[in-house]
Amino acid sequence: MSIKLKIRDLNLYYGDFHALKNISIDIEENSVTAFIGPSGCGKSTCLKTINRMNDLIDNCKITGKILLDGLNVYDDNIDVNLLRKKAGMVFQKPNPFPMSIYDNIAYGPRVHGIKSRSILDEIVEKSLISSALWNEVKDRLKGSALGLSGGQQQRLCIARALAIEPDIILMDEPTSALDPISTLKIEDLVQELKKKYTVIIVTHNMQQAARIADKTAFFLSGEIIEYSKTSDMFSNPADKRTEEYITGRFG
Amino acid sequence: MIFFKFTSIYNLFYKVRLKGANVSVMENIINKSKTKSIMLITPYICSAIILVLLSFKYAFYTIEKTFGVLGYNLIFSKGFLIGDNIVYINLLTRLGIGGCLLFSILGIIFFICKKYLLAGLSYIIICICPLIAMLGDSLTDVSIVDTGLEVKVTYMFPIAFIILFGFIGALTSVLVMGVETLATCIFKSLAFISVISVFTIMLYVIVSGAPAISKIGIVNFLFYDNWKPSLEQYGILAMICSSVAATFGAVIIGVPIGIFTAIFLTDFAGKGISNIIRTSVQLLAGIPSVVYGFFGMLVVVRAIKKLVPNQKVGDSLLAVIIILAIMILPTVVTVTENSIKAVPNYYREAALALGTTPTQTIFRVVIPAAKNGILSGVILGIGRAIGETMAVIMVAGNVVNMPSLLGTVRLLTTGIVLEMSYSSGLHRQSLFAISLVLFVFIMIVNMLFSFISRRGVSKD
Ligand SMILES: Nc1ncnc2c1ncn2[C@@H]1O[C@H](COP(=O)(O)OP(=O)(O)OP(=O)(O)O)[C@@H](O)[C@H]1O
Ligand SMILES: [Mg+2]
Repeated sequence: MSIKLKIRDLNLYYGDFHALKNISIDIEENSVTAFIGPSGCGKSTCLKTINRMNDLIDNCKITGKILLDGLNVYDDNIDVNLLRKKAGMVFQKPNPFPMSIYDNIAYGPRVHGIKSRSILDEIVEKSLISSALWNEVKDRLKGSALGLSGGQQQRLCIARALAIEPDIILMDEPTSALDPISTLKIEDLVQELKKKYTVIIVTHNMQQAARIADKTAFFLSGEIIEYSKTSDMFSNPADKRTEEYITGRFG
Repeated sequence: MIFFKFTSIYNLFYKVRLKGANVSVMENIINKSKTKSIMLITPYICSAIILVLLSFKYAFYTIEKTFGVLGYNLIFSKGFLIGDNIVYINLLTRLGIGGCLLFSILGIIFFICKKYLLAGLSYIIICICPLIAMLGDSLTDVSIVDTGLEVKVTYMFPIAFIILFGFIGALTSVLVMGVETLATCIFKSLAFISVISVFTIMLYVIVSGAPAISKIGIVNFLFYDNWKPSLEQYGILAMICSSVAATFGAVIIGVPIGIFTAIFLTDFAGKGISNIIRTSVQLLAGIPSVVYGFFGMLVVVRAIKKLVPNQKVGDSLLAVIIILAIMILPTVVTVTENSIKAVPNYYREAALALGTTPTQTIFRVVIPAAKNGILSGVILGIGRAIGETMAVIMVAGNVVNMPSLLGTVRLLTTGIVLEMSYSSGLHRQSLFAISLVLFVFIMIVNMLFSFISRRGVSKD
C-alpha cells in the first residue's frame, strides 16, 4: 500500500506551550487510522495541522513537514482552500449549517464553482447514499438540517465532507455525542469509506478503535508513544504506558 | 403606588382563600393568620365604601369661577348650561367616573360573595378609571376652546385616595405575607407601569386622532394631496409619501454601509482599528438630533446647492435622506455586529474546513445565519428614521410637496410640529390625526420587529 500522508518532525507551539513534540507518522492510503490518548494530549491539534485549521489560531507556531501526496502542506505556495477541499473534516459536535439538507451538501460544491442543478442533484444523492442517510431524508431534502436527529446530523456532516470529493477524511471524535445505534451506523460507514478514502479518526473509545482502525497511534502529552497495527497494539502493546492506558489503569 | 395596590390586595385575597382550604392540616397557624387577615381586610372594605361615597362628589368642573358638579351628576347628564353656554361633558370622562363608582360597588359585592379574584380585578379597573376620565377631560379642553371658557376636572380626591389605599396595602401585605411577597408585588407593579403607559398613550392618540379623521373622511384625509388648513382641506398624502420616501432612502443608503461596517468590525479589522470605529459609531448614537440638523444645514444642504446644477435651494428630500442614513447607522451597526458575533463559531469552522475562503464564509454562511438579527437592526433603524423630527425640520425645506429627490418636502413628524403652536379647532384635531397615522406606522414597524426577532429565537 502506498503512503498517503507523511508527517515528519512536526512540532507545534501554542505560544510557549509545546503541544506537539516531534511527531512523525506515515499513514497508508485507503486505511483507517485511529488516534487515541488521554484528554489534552494533542490528538485534535495533530489532526488540525493536517488541513491547517490551526492557521485560525493566533500565536500557533508550527515546524516540520506534513506531506500529502508528496506535497508539503505548509509550503508557501499551497492554496489552503484547495488543501481543505482535499482533506475533509468532521467535527466532534455535529455542525450542519442552518439551511436545508440539500443546501448543506451542495454548499461545498457550489463554493468550488459547480452551478449546474443536475450535477448538484447528483452529488447530493451520491453523498447521502455514501453516508447512509439517503433513505432517511430523500423525501425531505428541502427541510431544515437542524430538524434532524444528532446521529443524522453527524452523517449529514460526513455527507457534506464527502460532497467536495476529498482524498482524506479527518474525523475528530465523530461519535462522542451520539447514541450507540448512531455510533454503530457511523462505524459501519467508516468501514465503507475506507474503500475510497483515507480516514483518520480521533476517538476516546477503545472498543471503537479496535473495531474500525487498521492502525492506531497512541498519543501522550504531545508525543506519539506507539504506532502500530491495531490488533498488535491491543493484544500486545510494546510500551508500558500504552498498556496502562488501554487497560484503563491510566488517564 | 397605584398598581402596587391591587397586586397586594389580590395576594391578600388569594392567601385567605388558600388558607381557608387547608384548615384541617395546619389549623393552629391558619386560625391565627385568618383572624389577622380578616382584621386587615377591614380597611379595604372601608376604603371601598369611602370610594363609593366619594364618587358622588367625585369631580369639580371649574368653569370661569368654580362651578362644582357632583360625581353622579357628571355620570348621568350630557352637559350643563352655564350662562348662555352649554358645556358638554366628554363621554370618556363620564365613563371613567361611572366606572369608578360601578366597580367599587361591584368590588364590595364580589368580596362579600367570596369571589376574591373578581374583586381584585374590580380594584384594578377602579385604578385605571381616573386615567380614562383624565383622557376625556383633556378632550373637553380641546372642544371648549371655542366658547372661551376654561374647564377642568379636579382629581385631588381620587389621587389622594389611591395613594392612601396603596399605603395601607403595602403595610398590610408586609404584615400578612412578609417582605418576600412584598418584593414580588413591587416588581410586578413597576413592570406594569410601562405596559399601562403604552396603553394610555395608545388610547390617547386614538381617541384624540379619530374625531378629525371621521370628520374629514378617511379617504380624503389619507389619499388626497391637498394640505391647506386655511381652506379646510386636510389631505396628507404628500406627507405620508415623503415620510415613506425619506425612510426608504435612508434605509437604502444607511443599511448597506452599516452592515459592511459591522462585517469589517467582526471579521477583518484589527483590535485597534475596530475599537476606534466602534467608539465613533457609538458616539454617533449619542449626538443629539439637533446637532445632526446643524450639520445638515451647514454641510449637506450647502453641498447639494453647490454641486447640483440649477439647484436654487439645498433643502430637499435628498438632504433628509442623507441625514437620516447617518442617524440610523449606529443602530444598524450595533445590532448587526452583535448578531454576527452571536453566530456560533462552529459554522465558520465547518465552512472553512470545506475549503471556503473567509469572505465566502461570511456571505454564504455567517450572514444567512445572522439574517434575522440583521433584519431586526434594519427595522429598528426604520423606526428611528420614521420618528425623527428635529434634524429633518432643519434640512427638509418643509413645503408640502409630493416627494421628489431634489424638491422640498414635509414629513409627518415635522408636519405636526410646524403647525401645532398656532392651530385650533379641526386643524388642531387633524394634527392629532397625523400623529395617529404616525403611531400606526410605528406600530407596524414594531410588530414586524417582534415577529422577526421571535422567529429568530425559535429557529435556532
Ligand atoms: N487554541 C489553543 N491555545 C492554547 N492552547 C491550546 C489550544 N488548543 C489546544 N491547546 C492545548 O493543547 C493541548 C492539546 O489540545 P488538544 O485539543 O489537541 O487535545 P486532545 O488530545 O484533542 O484532547 P481531547 O481528547 O480532550 O479533545 C492541550 O493541553 C490544550 O490545552
Ligand atoms: Mg480533541
